[in-house]
Amino acid sequence: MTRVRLGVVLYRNSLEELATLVRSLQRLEQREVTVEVRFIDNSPDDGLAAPVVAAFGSRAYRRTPSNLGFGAAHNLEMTEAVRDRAEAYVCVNPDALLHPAAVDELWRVAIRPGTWLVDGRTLPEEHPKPYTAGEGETPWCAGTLLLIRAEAISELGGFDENFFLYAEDVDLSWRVRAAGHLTRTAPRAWIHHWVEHRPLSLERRLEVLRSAAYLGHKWGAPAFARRYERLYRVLAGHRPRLPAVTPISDPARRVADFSHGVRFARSRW
Amino acid sequence: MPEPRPRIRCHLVAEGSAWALEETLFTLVAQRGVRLEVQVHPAPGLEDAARAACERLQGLGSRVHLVVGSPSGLGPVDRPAAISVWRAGVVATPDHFQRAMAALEDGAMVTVAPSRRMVLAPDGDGPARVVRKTRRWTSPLPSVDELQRESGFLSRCLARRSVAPLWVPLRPDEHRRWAEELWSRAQPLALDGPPTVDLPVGGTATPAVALRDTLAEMRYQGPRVLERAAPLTFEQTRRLFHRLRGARPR
Repeated sequence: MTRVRLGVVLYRNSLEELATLVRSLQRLEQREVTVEVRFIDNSPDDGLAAPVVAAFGSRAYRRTPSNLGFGAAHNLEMTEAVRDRAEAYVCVNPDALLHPAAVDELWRVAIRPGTWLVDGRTLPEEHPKPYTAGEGETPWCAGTLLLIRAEAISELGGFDENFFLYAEDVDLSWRVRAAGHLTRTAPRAWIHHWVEHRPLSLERRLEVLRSAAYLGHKWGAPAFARRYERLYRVLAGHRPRLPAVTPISDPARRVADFSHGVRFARSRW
Repeated sequence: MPEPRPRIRCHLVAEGSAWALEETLFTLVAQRGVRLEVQVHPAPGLEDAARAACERLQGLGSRVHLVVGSPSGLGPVDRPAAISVWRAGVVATPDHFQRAMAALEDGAMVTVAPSRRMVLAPDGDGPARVVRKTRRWTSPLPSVDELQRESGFLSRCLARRSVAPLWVPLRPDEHRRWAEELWSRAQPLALDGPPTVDLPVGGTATPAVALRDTLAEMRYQGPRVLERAAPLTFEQTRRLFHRLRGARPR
């Protein structure tokens, strides 16, 4: 059976939240694929290790020496997954509840020709970016529940580690499309993820703005980048530290869409 | 030790698509802050799908119990504090019952949750695609006439057991009668705040209600247009934006 590695990046999550996710991962149906679960913990201590090790064994847990951020931590695991001959890597948010059929359903869509990325449907608050009826083609795939084919990892190297948090999924999706492959939504792959009630800390808002500015510079949208840099400066009191980047040139950058703010696609609502 | 009694019993009336039923159940098992028993009442032909969905999702939520049909006995599932009647296809945020229950504990007899209307489109043999979601305006003391435009309107309500009718409206056409009986015993109170329930769209609104729905939606969408066009100005008016949405300032 096809092997899929599923990775969850942790950072100071609540034990209750983690228990919910672990419970749902233990109930994955695995009719189409065999799922190997791994947790990559960016936290400063190993306080989250116990429930993971109890459920999936000590191989399923590793702690990073420092907080690597979302993309770099997933890259660590997905690179190993490809080396171990997994056919796909699935990112799952730690503050979520996975439907038992979710990974099987992602895989069913991932095997359609040309498909390199597949995301799931988030309930109860679905992302409003569009997907086409039947084919499920979507402008970009969200990292909340995201399957990445091994070919995409080998050829594109996973996430751009210059993003610490946010927008690395948009960037990866655009790189996949620029390389001539497809990004799809699997409408039957469900993840329960709800963050509407959570206050967005200043720290996290700054990460959103920094990522938006970097994405703008990278994909040749300087006006968009400056707008979010300016906002960052107002909130933080200083300019964001952004790595130097050579903007992606035409025709690859034509897949990028900066006309909908930080949603990066037309909204259904 | 006996398990504590469920605070809330939810009768989920299911007809139509098995996807809609499973989607509803998946959001109900994630309810937080309450002990909930969901009794699924499937229409003929949906029994197997209902049983399979309950078996698949049972245990995902630590304080939510799923059961098909009526329980065989009384015991721990008897005498809940509050009753709700749901329709398959309606989805809820995880704080839906917690917020409603808090209002009942503050003295309300029946609550009506803030909601959105979903326009759905069929998508092959899979779950329906959500094409649009819009805010639904609700008056502070809503009437049955006002709410019944959406067939799943009872899903917005949570009633204290003492005022809830003692029968279960298993057929969708009985929901209005159940609601009228409930309204005759207590005036429901509309809750404030962000929507906790999304209902499949149904029926047509009177021009006055349609206008109010549009205004409710503009109140939400206006700031989002500003956020896209001028994020700096939006940031400076963020507190106002959250007050308009009825949420706490972040």
